[in-house]
Amino acid sequence: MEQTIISLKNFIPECVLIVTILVCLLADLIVRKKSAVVAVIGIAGLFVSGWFVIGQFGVKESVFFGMVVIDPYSVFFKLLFIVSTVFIILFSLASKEIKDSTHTNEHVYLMISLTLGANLMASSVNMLMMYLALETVSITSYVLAGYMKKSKRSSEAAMKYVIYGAASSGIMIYAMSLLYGYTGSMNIFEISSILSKMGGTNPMLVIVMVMILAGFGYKISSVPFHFWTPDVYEGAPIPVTGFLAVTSSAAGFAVLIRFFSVTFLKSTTMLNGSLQIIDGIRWTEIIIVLSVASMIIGNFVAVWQMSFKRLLAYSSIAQGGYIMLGLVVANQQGLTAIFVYLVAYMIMNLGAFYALIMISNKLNSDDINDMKGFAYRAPAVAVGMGIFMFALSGIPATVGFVGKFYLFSALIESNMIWLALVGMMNSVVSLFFYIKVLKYMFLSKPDEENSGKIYYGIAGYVLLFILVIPTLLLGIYFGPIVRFAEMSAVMFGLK
Amino acid sequence: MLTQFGQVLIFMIIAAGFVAVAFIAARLIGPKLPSKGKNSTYECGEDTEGDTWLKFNVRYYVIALIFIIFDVEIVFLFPWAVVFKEMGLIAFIEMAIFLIILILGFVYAYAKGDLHWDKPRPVIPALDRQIFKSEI
Amino acid sequence: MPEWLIDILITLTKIVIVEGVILTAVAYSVYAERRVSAFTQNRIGPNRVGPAGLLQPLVDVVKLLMKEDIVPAKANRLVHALAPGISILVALSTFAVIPFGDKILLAGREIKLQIADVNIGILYILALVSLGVYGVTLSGWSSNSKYSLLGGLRSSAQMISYELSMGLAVLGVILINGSFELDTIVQNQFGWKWNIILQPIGFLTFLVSAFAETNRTPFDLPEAEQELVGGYHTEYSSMKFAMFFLAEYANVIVASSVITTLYLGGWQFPYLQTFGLPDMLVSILQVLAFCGKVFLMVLFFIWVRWTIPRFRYDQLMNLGWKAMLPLALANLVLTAIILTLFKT
Repeated sequence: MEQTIISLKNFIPECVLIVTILVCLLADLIVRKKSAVVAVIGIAGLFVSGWFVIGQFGVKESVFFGMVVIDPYSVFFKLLFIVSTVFIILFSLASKEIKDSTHTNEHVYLMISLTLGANLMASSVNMLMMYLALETVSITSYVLAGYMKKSKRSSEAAMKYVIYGAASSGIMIYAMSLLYGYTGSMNIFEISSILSKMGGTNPMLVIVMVMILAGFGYKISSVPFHFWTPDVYEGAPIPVTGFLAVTSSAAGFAVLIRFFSVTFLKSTTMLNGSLQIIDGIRWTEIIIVLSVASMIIGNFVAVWQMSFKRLLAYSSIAQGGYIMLGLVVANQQGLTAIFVYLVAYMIMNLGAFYALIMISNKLNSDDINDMKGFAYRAPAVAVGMGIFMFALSGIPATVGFVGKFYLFSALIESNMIWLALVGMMNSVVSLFFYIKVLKYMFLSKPDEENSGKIYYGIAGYVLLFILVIPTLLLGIYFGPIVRFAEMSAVMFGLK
Repeated sequence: MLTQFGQVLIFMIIAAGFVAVAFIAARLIGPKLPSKGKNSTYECGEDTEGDTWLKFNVRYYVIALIFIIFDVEIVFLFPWAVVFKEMGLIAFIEMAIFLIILILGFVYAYAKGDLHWDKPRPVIPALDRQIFKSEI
Repeated sequence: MPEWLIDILITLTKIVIVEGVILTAVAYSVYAERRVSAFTQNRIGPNRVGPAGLLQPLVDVVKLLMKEDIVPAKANRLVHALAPGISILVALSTFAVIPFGDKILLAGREIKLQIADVNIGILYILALVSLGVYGVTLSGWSSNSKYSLLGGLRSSAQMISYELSMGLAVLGVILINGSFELDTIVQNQFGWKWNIILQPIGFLTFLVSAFAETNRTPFDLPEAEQELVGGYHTEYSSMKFAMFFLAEYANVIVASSVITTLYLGGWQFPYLQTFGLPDMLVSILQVLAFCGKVFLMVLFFIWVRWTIPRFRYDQLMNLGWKAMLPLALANLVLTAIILTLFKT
């Protein structure tokens, strides 16, 4: 009882989110038509929750009987999720697809529920809690993927997503039960200390690891588990796609990184900083394979895509591969690099998806062929899109470069030069398809019949501008995010 | 000493024994004269047409889903109800929060029409010509 | 004789007596139904076999035994045979926890007039009630006939819909008593402190839900003769059909006893203790009081069946979800508020 009340004090951000969900639901029932009121309430709730999250900075506490921890690591991710959700809700107000759907305002509180699940994913240290949080995120995203009830593609996407998600989370919970049977604990810190005592020579542990990776890997759409990604991204409405690409996969990374770097590292070495992998469990090698495969398949397949959404799907598979490189290093520097990259990834991906929303609102299509000569019709949007594309490919002076720079330098310092080289080569390949979009927009003339100028409301330009500024500014002046990342790269119990 | 559930088990075994005896007796006493017509599926004298497992209304699934949700909520209410008198006000407040969320969900399902079962609108077959009208 | 043997013997005797009484009662409630329906419709009803037709149920059983057991060629034989067994078994097993009297002193030994006083009696009953849906659904599915399937489908949707309001209605009683034990609940209803007075809304919802759970008119959609022939038991004959038939009446009796136990004071007979009667007589009178209450409830079930027309399916579902469930919830909240405000 006492512990619960103390825990609740550290659980205020999540409680605020829950209350926001309920209030939004009630508001939706009262207004009963599409209205910005619900979105405004949702955003307000997210801001309040974010304010409490900022207040948690520096706190290191374990709440609810070791189910959830509050540490700088989770605070970083929570802020990331909340900021991206605010943007996505704003996008959904602009999106025509959401406006045309038969639902009223459900997407707002569904998105906030997903944020709640993601927050819990980032802060849980208990396997059961991790699974539950993951399912909260998954189930909400199934619903969101099928948001356009009338569209066959959207329903198909939801169906594929459900089947794939159910299968992989089933595999994951089975692996968790095996691990629980082997160690007798659900808490990942305890598992780690038990494993370092026992040693990791049991071959079952490798199977367990691969099976757990199936669950987490599906969330971050890493390569052997990525098959749902293109179809779901293509079918779901664009704001939802952006949401899946940013929040959902970042949440996947949050739980993946915490799980692997706590469970399978020697607990004795955690405190003095020289992290060591438990003998016999060479998980970094599995991660290397997944990461290289994700980069190569993501980038090379993206080259052939003519649907912008599919292109972004493969691009995010590849980006996931880059992020996993940071995990391979398994030290403080790698974690910092991942954080820097995640911030960059969030900003530029949100930007790219918003630009895509603006384009497809007017063109009613996400085919790259239809975007011929778009720069002549709406130059501001095309330039914005250009900046985000350059950032995604990692051109210097954009935020994307900073992320890649930190990742590769972390690799090189750990003497994994060949991995850094693979990453760089992939960046060159990715440049090709990102530029391809720009080629269509800037270098081709628009078709005769639809070459009229396209205008947007002032709010649309403002939002685009808000996203363009950090993409460029943080590319030049990246001190703050690096410092923020360094401060955040601390897990509870891990120095 | 038998436990209480042991007694329940004996009760069930004896009941099952009664059922088994009845079935065996019917098998021994009753005639066995199967024929093709007798063993065919009953459809008011017609031969059955098509697959038996026909598609049914998707509402049944929706009802089943809502049932699962509420049934789980009720399961949470049972332990609360037992200790309610001992715990007093705190139990009341805790459950009030739980029930508000539960009722909100109920109101939501109600407002969105998920609990509504449509009134049947039987289509009375309309003939395009009158049968008894002379056509000469 | 060792103590444990006596214990088991007592239990066995109790069980055999109770099951015998229930089965007889079930057979005679069929007879009662036929007489009451005849009375309602100004007919005579069965009156040839024995005095006033009292031997009719026995003859019916013999007749059903002599009939051929027809299993349709397309049916799933195992499940087809299993379904009626499940139905009757579940219906009978519910009675294992119902207290039909207080204690009785026999040969210096205190015997509890209840087969098993499990500490989660109410949960046990609710669990078995929800198991009851399997018999009906499986029979509908395994017969491989459209009428059966539709009947099974309807009844499963109907039973799960009303199960919720049933569970919520019972919660009110649990709140007042703070226990799942049926014996405690009955003990607490001494005098006129019957739960029907404390829980009128709960009683109403429970009663209506019980009607729906037993598939009785006005909720007998699963076997609506006019549209579904026999519903889920269209393809059954001989003893298997008899089992469904018995299960229905066993369910009526069980529902009546549960209602009696939870809301009508169980075996309590107001002010019986004040008359200064011998203990033995008191115990017997209490058992008789229980039987009398159950009998009246069964009569009520039959009465309703021959008085009220059947609901349409949409009316049935809308009543369950839009009226019964909110009513039961409101009852629960109201009870909790009153208990918090007027703490005794």
